Amino acid sequence: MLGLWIPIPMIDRGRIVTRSSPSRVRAAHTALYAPLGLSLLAAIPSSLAGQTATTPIVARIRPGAVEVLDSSGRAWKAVRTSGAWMTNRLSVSSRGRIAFLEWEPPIIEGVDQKVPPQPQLVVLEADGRVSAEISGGVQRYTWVDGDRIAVIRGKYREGNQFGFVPEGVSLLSLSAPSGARETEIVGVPEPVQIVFAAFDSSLYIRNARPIDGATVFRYRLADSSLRPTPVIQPNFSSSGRYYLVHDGPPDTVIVYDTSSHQPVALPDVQGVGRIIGWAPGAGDYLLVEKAQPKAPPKAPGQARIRVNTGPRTPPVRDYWIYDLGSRRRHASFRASLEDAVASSGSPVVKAAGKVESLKIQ
Amino acid sequence: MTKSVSMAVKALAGTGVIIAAVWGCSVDLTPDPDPGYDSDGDRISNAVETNPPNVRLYAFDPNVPNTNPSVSRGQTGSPPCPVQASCGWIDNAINLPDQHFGYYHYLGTDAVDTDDWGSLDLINEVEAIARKWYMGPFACMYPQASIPLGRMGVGDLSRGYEQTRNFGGSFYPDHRSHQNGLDVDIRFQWDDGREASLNLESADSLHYDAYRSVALMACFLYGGNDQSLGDQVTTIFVDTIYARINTDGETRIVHDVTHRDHFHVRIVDPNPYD
Repeated sequence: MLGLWIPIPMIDRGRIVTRSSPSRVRAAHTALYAPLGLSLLAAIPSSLAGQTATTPIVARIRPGAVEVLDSSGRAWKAVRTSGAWMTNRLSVSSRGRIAFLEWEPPIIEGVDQKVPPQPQLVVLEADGRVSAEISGGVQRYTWVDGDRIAVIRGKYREGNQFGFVPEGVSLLSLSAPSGARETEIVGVPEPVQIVFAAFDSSLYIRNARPIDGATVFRYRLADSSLRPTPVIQPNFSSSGRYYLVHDGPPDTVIVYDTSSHQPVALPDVQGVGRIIGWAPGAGDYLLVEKAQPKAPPKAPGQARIRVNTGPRTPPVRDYWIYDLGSRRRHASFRASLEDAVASSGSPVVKAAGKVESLKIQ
Repeated sequence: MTKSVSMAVKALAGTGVIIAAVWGCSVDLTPDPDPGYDSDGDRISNAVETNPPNVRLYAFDPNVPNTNPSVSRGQTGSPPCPVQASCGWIDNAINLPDQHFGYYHYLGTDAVDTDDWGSLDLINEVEAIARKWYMGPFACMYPQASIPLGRMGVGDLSRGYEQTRNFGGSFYPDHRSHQNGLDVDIRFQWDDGREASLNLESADSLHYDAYRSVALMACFLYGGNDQSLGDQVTTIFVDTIYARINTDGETRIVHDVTHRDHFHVRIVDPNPYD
């Protein structure tokens, strides 16, 4: 029957369950499709049917929807619509699965949140089918492979620098048919960031505060061992030879050498460009935005902030791909950097009206 | 004065401001709601001097000049304070009254009177800006804004515990800074005057009032008709994209994507060498 909900396996603190009562989000979803006589599957854009993980899946969040770029690179199709209070933390796995957090709103009493906003991690297949909805306060997550996700759980906290108060970290298997499939990773009491490093098949977990001098811990998947590391922030290049540290003024990013844990001097970049992040490829590539000419600061009393009434579309800028191996510019291009993610892990750009993930030869 | 009555008074006064603007008159028609706010002239307001934690700690008397007991120590947090280190604190911090003219304090998940301690300079700044906010846009010198409806929502200042007289220091897990009584979080403004949390990433953003919110930030930066108040502010951290801010060369506004459910005001350290 059209409009029926397919039972969705739910992972709830170590076990997979099937939800019997629709959440507010699900109810809003049903309300949207039921009058049209459409099932969730019928809502999948036909243009996505042929896409595989070999063609990078590109996705973005828009108010009330998660959208996927069609094969033309010029049109977006909604694969998830909901009445969620907030949708964020979007990602696409290397196999094309789409994940994001959907939030139910806080309950306000007086001027405070009596009940904070509640997130659930939603996982869609590349074609838009829902494969899992994971409750229990997932605040951060990282794909380990196409089947496993590592998650940090915690409670939303208004005004908090991380946005939440951490409670724990664990590893989930999405394909397990039943039984306990959540493995808790013990030893990082205040996890605030987690990344999977393919170069050494490990999870790197950052604790909010140092423990015996270490802030970042390595969890080896092969033997489930946890060890402290001297890494400052776990944001590695493809090879793992470098990592990025965000510190100082908010836009300041520094490249560190993983063997020495010392900053790498990059005179070709510093002062003439701003490091945006990694551009995954065969080498250790940085995406750098060329510095914009800035209007001189106004004298005290002359500046007056005001409301920006212009569009919020990303500006067109000049970018470089900088090869850390050769310490040279590898390529340059002019485009806008889109607020979207790709299964390739590459930045998503728009040039000449077409959106695509960067491909570095 | 009850809140509803005060809002009615403000609405009437606001009508006067609009009429004045139409007639080309820039006179601020809304009087200071608390002209005798510091009856003994000691730079510590009556509200602060009669606030129970401050009375118990410092025996303040609003009729007798008192000296400022608070001293900010160490650094403000980040940078140059190392990542997550606790390198700031406050000697004899002052507790912000839970609400007064133009503002209210929200707790988040904190216990009462554990997250609202600061240096006297910060407490004075919050109170002064709140009074101007209450008085309307002309007091804040931002006539493009509509009349303020919602009070200013004040969140975390610094940690503090009256019983142990332990003030400032690490504000884990909530903040890297906020350690020595010079930082305060302020909520964005709702378009209907609601006094509640507002996250600019969420559906709440449909009710985000950019004009009122930017006017409030401008009030901190420029102090309305009192530039000395504006000179107190060194930095406002906020996501300028989500909050829709044109900085116009104002270098004290720092774009920071971690500030989407509040903006963060930092004031000058009155004791930079302590």
